[in-house]
Amino acid sequence: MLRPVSRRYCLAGRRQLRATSALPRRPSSAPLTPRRRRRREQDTKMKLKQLEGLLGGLTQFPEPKVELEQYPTGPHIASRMLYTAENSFDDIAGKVVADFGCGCGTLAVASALLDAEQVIGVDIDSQSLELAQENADDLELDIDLIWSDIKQLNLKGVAPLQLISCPSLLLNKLQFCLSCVTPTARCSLLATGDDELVEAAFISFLSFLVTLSISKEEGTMEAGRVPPMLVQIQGQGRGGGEESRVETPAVASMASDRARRAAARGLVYRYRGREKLHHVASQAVYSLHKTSTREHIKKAALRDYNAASAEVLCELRYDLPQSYKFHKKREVDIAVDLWRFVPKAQPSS
Amino acid sequence: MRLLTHNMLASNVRGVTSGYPLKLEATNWCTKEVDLNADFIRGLLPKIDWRALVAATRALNLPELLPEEQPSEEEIFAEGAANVEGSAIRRIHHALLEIHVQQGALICPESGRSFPIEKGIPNMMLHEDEV
Repeated sequence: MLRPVSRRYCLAGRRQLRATSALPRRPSSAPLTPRRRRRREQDTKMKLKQLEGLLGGLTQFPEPKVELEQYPTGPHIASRMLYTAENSFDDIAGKVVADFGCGCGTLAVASALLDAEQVIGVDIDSQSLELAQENADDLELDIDLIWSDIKQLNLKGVAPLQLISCPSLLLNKLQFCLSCVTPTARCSLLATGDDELVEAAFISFLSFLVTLSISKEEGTMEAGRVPPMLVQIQGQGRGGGEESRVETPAVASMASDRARRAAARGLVYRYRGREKLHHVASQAVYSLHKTSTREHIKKAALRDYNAASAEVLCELRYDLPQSYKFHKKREVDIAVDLWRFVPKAQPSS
Repeated sequence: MRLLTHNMLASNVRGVTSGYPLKLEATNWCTKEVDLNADFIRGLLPKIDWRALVAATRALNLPELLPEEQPSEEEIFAEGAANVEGSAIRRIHHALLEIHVQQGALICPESGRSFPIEKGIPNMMLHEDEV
């Protein structure tokens, strides 16, 4: 299998990757794993370019499933998201990171490359999980994968209501948090354990989620029509004629009144989830949103969703390649903001 | 699947109130060495369900690995313990992060529902009538 040059370059000095993963591990007397040893020799943290290069070598969905809204997280945006979380806020290295809806595991692998102590990837699609496993094996990374519907996954079997009474239990919070994520949600949760504080960070494509939950609700998929979100991605959707009448940025992608109403419902729904998330995270919530929704996000997060502060860390571009037959352009760049929300302090009982 | 993940997982079959801890049945497992990070263990330990962890190691036929009662913090994080072969922190580290269950099943303690583990991936998917 051909690999991009950048990846081979990054891994120069190592033996054939495919071959090594099949070999027995090094003897137990060796003090460091190959990855750590390499890092110590270099005496630096992994560089952004290096991370992006490694992520660029990952196998992505060969046949994305439209019903699961599988879109690859590109190496560009994935590397920047995780790099920022790690280098600006110390949220990855030495932490437990869970990637919900991991797909081919780009974010999970990125976390592992940045020395997360334990990475868990959850997805509903077993084929994606196999790919994620391969991707991790190729880079000699260990990622725990769970085949589950995020909505049904129960981490630490405590009912959500009881959770508030035990705020020190990170893992319970994780479950609490999970209970609000829909299966179509394209999101990753970074839950991290620290000495005293429990940190959880959430990465989501909210503006995408909004439209996704709608297309389900409205049954547009089944009817074989282009989901609203895709209309907008193409920039020339079939319902495009009506777009100009939509004023709110958050629902600008909606192609019809019906979809717009659904979008409003979707927003409410998603934000309800977000509210819970802010209860869950005690330190920071990371999130990706379309730049066009910036004002709305800020207002909603501060007013309704338990955020003490909300700031845009940087503007990124989500490079979405042509993934499905109905995509007309070869590639579309979507402007997104990387947000960092700090939730208000948890009630102590 | 590492035992740390097992320590988090619970069954979510309809009607089950706790579904924790899942009973581990392993037909195939392996170990992969990872560097020990004492600070990480220190932060993690209060969140670990010790009894579930011990039960998991017993299920893997490693009765000697962990004691029934959780050792005290002082013992675990004693000066230099991380460098001593067989010390409490090394054993805990080994149990949580170095054991990978490849093949087997997780059994819900309440409903008896079995979740198979294949190629190290537990299948927690529920049937329609279990949601």
